[in-house]
Amino acid sequence: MRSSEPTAPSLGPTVGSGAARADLARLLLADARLPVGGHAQSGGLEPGLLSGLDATDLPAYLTARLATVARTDAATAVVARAAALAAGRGAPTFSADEVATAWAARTPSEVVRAAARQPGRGIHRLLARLLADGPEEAAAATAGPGRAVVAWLEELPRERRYRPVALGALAAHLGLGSRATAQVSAYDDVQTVAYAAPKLLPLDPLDPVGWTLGAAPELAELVDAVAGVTHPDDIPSVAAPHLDAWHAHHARSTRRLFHA
Amino acid sequence: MPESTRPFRLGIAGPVGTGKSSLIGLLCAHLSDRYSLGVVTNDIYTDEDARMLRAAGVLDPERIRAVETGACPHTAIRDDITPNLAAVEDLEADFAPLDLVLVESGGDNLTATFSPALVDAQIFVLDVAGGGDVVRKGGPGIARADLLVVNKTDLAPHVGVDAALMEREGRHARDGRPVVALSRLDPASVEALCGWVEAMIAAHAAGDHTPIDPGPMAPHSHGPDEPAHAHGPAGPGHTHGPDDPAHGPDKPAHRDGRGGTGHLPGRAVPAHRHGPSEPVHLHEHGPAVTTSQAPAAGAHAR
Repeated sequence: MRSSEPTAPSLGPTVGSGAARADLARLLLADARLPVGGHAQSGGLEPGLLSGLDATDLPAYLTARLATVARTDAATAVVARAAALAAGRGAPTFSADEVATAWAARTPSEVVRAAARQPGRGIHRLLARLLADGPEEAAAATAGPGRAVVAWLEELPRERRYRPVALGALAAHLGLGSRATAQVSAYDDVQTVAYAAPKLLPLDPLDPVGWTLGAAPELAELVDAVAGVTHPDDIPSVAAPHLDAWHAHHARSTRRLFHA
Repeated sequence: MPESTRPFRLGIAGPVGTGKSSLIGLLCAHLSDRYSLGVVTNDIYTDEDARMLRAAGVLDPERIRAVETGACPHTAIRDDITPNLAAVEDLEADFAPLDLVLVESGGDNLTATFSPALVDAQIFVLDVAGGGDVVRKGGPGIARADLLVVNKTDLAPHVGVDAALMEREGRHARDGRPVVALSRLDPASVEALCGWVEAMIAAHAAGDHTPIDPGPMAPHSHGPDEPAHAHGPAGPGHTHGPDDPAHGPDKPAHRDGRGGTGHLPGRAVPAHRHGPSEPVHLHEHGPAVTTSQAPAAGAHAR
């Protein structure tokens, strides 16, 4: 490990001149309305329900993901952010290939890896677009590192630009700190499930909001645990074989609302 | 516009059950010998449409891809096109060079139209069985899609709908933009449809086609002095009324900036007009059905 990215003490922005932009970007990345393909995913909820989960299991399902796959994803995004920033500074540490390989090694299900490709492509498309036609001022301010960040991600073939790796690169470009990156990644995991729930179950749509808030301690613990990770080897390997099996079954289903 | 090097992307929208998949099947059956095609389907709950098309044997099954829309068919073609665009790009990469990629929306309501970032042009499909009045309900797809198809005209006598009237009303609602009254049992109407698509492929390849967004909004005006308009990010973004000298109903319905590709070429069906103020059009002059009372009107206009 040649570089150690300092861990920001708060969720606040880390880049002075881009502080306001980074603060706004944190909200944008957490917003389900960001058009990067999130609406087609249920965070494994539809596969789980088809395999026997019911509504009473959902709060535990959220925290189970935070303890396992969401943790691996968030740590990967944090490592990707640090590596992309390092590349942007001209002092590269880890290639996108190394980060993607570390994530894939901890994500043994090909179905789950495949499901992470689509949002990864959406995030890459957004990142490339922001660089291509952002406001001139912003482009001037970020042209150097921004282009290097995209170039770092684009070393990967398209099919390996998995969501956590792409999210880390986008977070680097937008100036998010490592804690904010981890939080956005984990929050998106929780809300993907929570938002899909009323579409799949006979629920009051307000119920999942409470579940999301109820997951606050586990989410905060996850952020604390992964925000300081900078080396791909240190990404937690906490696979969830049961979730993987549900995903595998779902991929063969001919009746589904969600991609995964 | 410069000549295009990527395939022409054509969206097929319209309510559930109006025949979008069948229309795509028709296009594949008639065009796949001369053009290299790909199809993306947006099923709501199953991959039924993709399976039906694959089973129909009109196209290599590998060229038909299904996209899940997370119960949001409208979102998937308009607000967040990520999954569809990925599928289109994959098809284009896997089977390069393609001439035409057809994107079938999941059946949705009358306000669902494709983003111009996803398709170059779009067909909006209604059918006589959905009710003769649906075309009068209007909406961006009916009024401003590049082509309106009134489908299943062979069923008109059975559902008490005057197909010729429905077609005329569609033409009226569209300020002269083209309408095809289609029946898969009527070869002339199928020819008209295929001819329109072929002309659009050619216009796109030549760089003569500018995507026009039908938009989710109805045309409106901001004051008495401003003409009605619709908002769209591409092209001039205006829909022009019949009094507009630039795009009156005597002009080809498709705006390409050169006035040359909007006609319906209809190889077997002679294009004709009934008067100076009616656009050239294509249809069969079958026996008129006199009643226009539609049972279950609006059943599909959800």
